[in-house]
Amino acid sequence: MIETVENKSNIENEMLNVKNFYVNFETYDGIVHALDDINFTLKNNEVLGILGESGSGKTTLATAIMGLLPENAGVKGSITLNGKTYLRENDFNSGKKLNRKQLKILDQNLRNIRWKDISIVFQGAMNSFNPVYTIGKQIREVYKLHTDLSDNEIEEKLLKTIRYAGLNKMVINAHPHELSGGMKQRAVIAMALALDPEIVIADEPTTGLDVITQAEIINQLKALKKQGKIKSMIIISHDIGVISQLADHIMVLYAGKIMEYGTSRDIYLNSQNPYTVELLKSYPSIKNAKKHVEGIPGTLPDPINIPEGCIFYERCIYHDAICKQKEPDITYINNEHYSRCYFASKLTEKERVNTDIDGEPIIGTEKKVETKDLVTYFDLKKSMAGSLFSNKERVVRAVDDINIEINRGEILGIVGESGSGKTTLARTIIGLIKPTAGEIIYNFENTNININKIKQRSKEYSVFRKNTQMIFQDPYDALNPKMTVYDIVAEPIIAHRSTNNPGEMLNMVKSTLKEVNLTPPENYLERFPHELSGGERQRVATARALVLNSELIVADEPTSMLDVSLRAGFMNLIKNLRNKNNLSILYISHDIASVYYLSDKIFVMYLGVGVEYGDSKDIVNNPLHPYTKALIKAVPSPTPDWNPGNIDIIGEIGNSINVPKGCRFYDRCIYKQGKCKNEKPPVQKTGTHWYLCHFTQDELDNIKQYMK
Amino acid sequence: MNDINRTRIKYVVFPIIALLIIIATSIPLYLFFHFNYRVYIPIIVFMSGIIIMFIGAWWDFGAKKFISDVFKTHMELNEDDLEYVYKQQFIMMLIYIGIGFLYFLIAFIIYLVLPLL
Repeated sequence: MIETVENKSNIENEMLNVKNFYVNFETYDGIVHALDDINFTLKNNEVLGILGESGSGKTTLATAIMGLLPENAGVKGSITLNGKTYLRENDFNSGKKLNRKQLKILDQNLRNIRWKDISIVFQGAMNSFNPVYTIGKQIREVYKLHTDLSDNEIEEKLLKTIRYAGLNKMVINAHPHELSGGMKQRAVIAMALALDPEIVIADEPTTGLDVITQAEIINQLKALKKQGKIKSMIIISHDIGVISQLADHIMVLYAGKIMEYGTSRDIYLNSQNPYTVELLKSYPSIKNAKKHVEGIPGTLPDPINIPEGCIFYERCIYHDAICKQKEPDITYINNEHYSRCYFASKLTEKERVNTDIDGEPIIGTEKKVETKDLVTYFDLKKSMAGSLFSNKERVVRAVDDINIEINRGEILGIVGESGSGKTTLARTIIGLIKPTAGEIIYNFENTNININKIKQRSKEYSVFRKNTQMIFQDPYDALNPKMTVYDIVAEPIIAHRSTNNPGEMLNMVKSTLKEVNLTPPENYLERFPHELSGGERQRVATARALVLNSELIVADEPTSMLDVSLRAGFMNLIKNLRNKNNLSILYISHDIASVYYLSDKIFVMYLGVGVEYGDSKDIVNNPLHPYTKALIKAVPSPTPDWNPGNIDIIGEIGNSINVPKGCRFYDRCIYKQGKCKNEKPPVQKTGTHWYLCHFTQDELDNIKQYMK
Repeated sequence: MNDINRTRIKYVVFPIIALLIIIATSIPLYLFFHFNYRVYIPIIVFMSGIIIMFIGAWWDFGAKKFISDVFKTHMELNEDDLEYVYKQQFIMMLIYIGIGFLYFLIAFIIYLVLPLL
């Protein structure tokens, strides 16, 4: 009797039930198995996190729940909302097409559910809005389509929703391009909450946002959940840190299958599936200090030809003969925790064999590059069109008075939010942008080269070009799709006339490919970029940068487009190459955890100026500048217990046009005083660690005490 | 002279130089060969005038690039800025149409006045 009552209350508590759910896509190459035997229940007031690499089926599941699958999708199983099945086997094209009437009924059913019952925050807030309509018009549209409210009532509701999402009402009349990334994301959330839906699906809600904005969005979602504005939520992300902050339960997906399911605590602290264990290990976090991280080798299995046995078999370090023969069943560890593995609850800590980093770095005292008071401004009024169409000053102070140096064999990490001038600094250093003022001095082949003073046809210029190479952010755009891997890697050799001998050239390309772990190189030489995975592409881009044995490599966010499992492998590769070849590397990222993992020194930038510099350990363990403190505090730690509290920063990064006269950080600093507004801050120095502020640490503490 | 007028003059220089080139390059042909300057040049200048008018009407004078630069550098661009851009484009279009009429005028002068000289 008691059991029956319990079951009844469980069913009553159920919001969404996905049962024996399969999704296939019919393509020219064959049937793509996107989701396979998905079963889960979302309860009232529950937040479910879906974790997995790209291609694991996370977004397909979200679109299936919303009934937004494309026409070539075939569905098996059912999705039930509040006990009512709205999506079942024949609803989509699984062999036979629906007739017009059936389609109309299905469309009507789904229209009633979408936004009123289930709404979605789509991935990429930048593209979620129509650029020619104001934000207000686009949110009003939701009310107009789904309700019969009068214009006044809509206006009232709109204001309330905007306020809930933490936005100012001025946003209503703004066009999407006028808003920052964070504001746009909040506006997308406001749109999703417009009709008070039962379930909100957030598909990668923080991807592409800066760490501080990301922390603010996480806090906002937490607050909305607490206020009851969000009842139940499904949060999809490949970012382990983000999921850990929001989810009560976590479902780990791999190649369309649930590998593990459990409470947040179970998954993070007691994961019982090799895939989850490896995924967690590959995430560099500030908490784990410089502890070695290891990526998951290999890639997801081909979704058209799913292998027999366990789908993770080929990448698993725990695998056994049985794993290849038969797919493991689900093993329950406790009532709420299960894993699809033969070794669930028997997993012991096992390290991969190939975790070694070759040798120790030898950091020399010889400076490879030094900048002196480097300034790069972009004045749009300088061009003819700019002076005709600009009615006001349009000068971007992208880089202002930067002094940095990189020694031989050293990795200097540059961190800062988007718009802080990191990429402009790197491009100026490497000579892609002409500096407005200041000097950049290189030391290559025992000659000092001041790149502002040399001519493009001089010998020094060719030495400088040969010894400085760049790895770009996006491996998908950085490689010419019409060239083979051999052509791409051999291009610098031809451009710099390193050799004319085809045999020697081939050997150079092969040895470089080996160096970046693309082995055997023969398998890669004739392949085109589209035949490579993201990680392999970035390795080809790295090989191209290394083939001339350059002495300085500039890596501009090289891991930001890579999957979480590939990031660790790529970072280890960079570390290895530095140790082996004594390379100097300028590593740029907004991910402070990865910069900490790789770099010897860290330079923190804000609105074009350097605000703090020092040893990476000093910067992370003992940040001195208020901005660095906030930046480090905002990095999510992959544990459910992490609570950053107040991040101690105001608003979002401004633009580099109307910068404050005194301290650049003035507008966002919680410690700001009168003199910060108009007086430029001095450098406060302790050894090699310095920061740019009017106040010492004691003074900052006193200000904080006083504020309290 | 203020900045904006100086820029407008820079834009005007191209069609004016084109006009001078059309008039001047055919003078040697007229002087040394049997080239009917009075018949051919007014037609060429007249047709070039129409082309200049079309250029003025269809060319954006670099506005698209300017807007994309503004976006790339994350600068503010509001309705007033857009109106200013449209206004400048309109002024430039009128200037180019004016230059087109200048071409017509020169064509008529060559056609009507040259035989009187």
